[in-house]
Amino acid sequence: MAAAVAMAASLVACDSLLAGGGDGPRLVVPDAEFGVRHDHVKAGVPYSFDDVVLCLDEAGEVSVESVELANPTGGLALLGFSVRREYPGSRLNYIENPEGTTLEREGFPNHGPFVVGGICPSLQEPETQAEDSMSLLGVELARSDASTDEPAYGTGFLIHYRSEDDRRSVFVGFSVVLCPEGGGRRRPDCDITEIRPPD
Amino acid sequence: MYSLLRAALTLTVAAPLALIPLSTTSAAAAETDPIVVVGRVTDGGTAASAARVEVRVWPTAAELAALPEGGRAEVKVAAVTQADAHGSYRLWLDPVRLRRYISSAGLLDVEVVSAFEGRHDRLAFSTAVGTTKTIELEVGAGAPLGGGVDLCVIEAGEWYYNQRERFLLVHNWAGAKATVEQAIRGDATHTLGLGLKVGSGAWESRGTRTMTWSESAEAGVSVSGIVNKALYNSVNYREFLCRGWQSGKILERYVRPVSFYDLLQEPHVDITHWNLRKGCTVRSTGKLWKKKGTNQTVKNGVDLPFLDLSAQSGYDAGTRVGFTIKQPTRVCSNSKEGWVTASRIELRSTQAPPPGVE
Repeated sequence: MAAAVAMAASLVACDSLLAGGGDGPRLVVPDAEFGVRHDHVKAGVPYSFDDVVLCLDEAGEVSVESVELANPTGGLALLGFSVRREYPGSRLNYIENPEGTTLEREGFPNHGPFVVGGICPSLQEPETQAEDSMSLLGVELARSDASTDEPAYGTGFLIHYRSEDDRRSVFVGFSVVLCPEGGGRRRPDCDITEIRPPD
Repeated sequence: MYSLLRAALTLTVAAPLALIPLSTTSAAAAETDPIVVVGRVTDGGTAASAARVEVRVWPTAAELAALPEGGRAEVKVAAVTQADAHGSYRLWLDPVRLRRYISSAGLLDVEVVSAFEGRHDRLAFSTAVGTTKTIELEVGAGAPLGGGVDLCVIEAGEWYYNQRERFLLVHNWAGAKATVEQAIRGDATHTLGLGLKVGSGAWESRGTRTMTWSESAEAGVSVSGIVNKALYNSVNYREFLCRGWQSGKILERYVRPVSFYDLLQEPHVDITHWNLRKGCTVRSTGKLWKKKGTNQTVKNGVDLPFLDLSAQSGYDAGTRVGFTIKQPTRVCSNSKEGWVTASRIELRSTQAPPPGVE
């Protein structure tokens, strides 16, 4: 098992979902539903993704404190998370092949604080747009239960963060399916696109 | 009971169409929450004080589709007001009183019309209960009044079946073939243009109507193995005539999308690359999918025999596009924030020239 970059939150205080109302910046995540699926996934092999883009609604900084996998099924485990700034240029992600790699190996910082700064480009004036205004959320996952042949999947991620003195949470509709080995057969039962915040 | 529309309907259509309805919906709108239409009427950019503004509601698509040719459609004037000294107006629609006009998908087809000093402007759209819409109207380019004060009745005209709607452009390559689903995991929603012709004037696009697949059928559709194609749905349009109550003359003609004929209708048409260059992601394996991002508006998405109308659809909640990555692929978009929220994405081989080189 790859070393987790930062331990994922297993329990989240309910009041963090209700906090807010302050004047600090808010984390903006993609307003979309999207996902990834990988087939022939062996139990215990890490898969790392950096598809979630993070930025803010106004100037300032926030700190990602924990990340929660929504409704994990079939033994999908969130091994860790991390945050990094984008590099200048047109390329946004840095993990070309998620299979068998860890966030640490992909250059994500292995300890916090996981700071997000920068206003989303879509919220900036074009003439003042910063070159590196976005950050990427990295998540490292694995099928943790070798005894089941069920698809391992989650229905999104809940990001818990601190903005000034407020603790806030935001849900991102990013589904991950790690489909077990199927002897080369197509697995329609792995064609899961459900997006749902944690029950 | 017949629907009698005001004499404003006899006017020639004002030219500009750069009227974008803005809307906000409360998170938990109840079925009884009013629909609010607010905005400003201007005449050459200045306030059209005391302009008349009315909201008409159209019958549901199911009701319009069932009308025989010549049958009367009960288009109702649901609210009327006068703009204030600043040209501003606000109108409320009571969804309880308009229940029969609300579709099974919860949408009401509305047309806002303003008349001022013998000229007028208008815009049609679909809206949900509990929504506030901002509609700005500009009567300055409208033609002078003509035809006196005749009232009109809307009657059903001929059908234009099987009009192809170019709704989604899939830019990819053989190393990352696409599967597109519609209405399989949720209703497919499409916003299509509608046309209007006043008197002997030309056909013009005067707003939109939002259609849902569930109005026409229950089963969804999926196609796979798509490589660099424009995908089409097929829509049934119908003409409606505004006939003068006194004169019996046809004063206006509407053409409205009423129902779907088919989804993801073949043939799929080859397209060329966009060469997008923002927010690129490189991937060598796995399957990516997206839905519910920013919608894609296709200009001239529907080609009626006499009018080109826009179509807005794509990455809505009922349309899913998935790509199976078999070879190293670069996914670029028209948004710096990446493929997930972009309205346009393009998948090409990493061996292809990098973005911007061509």
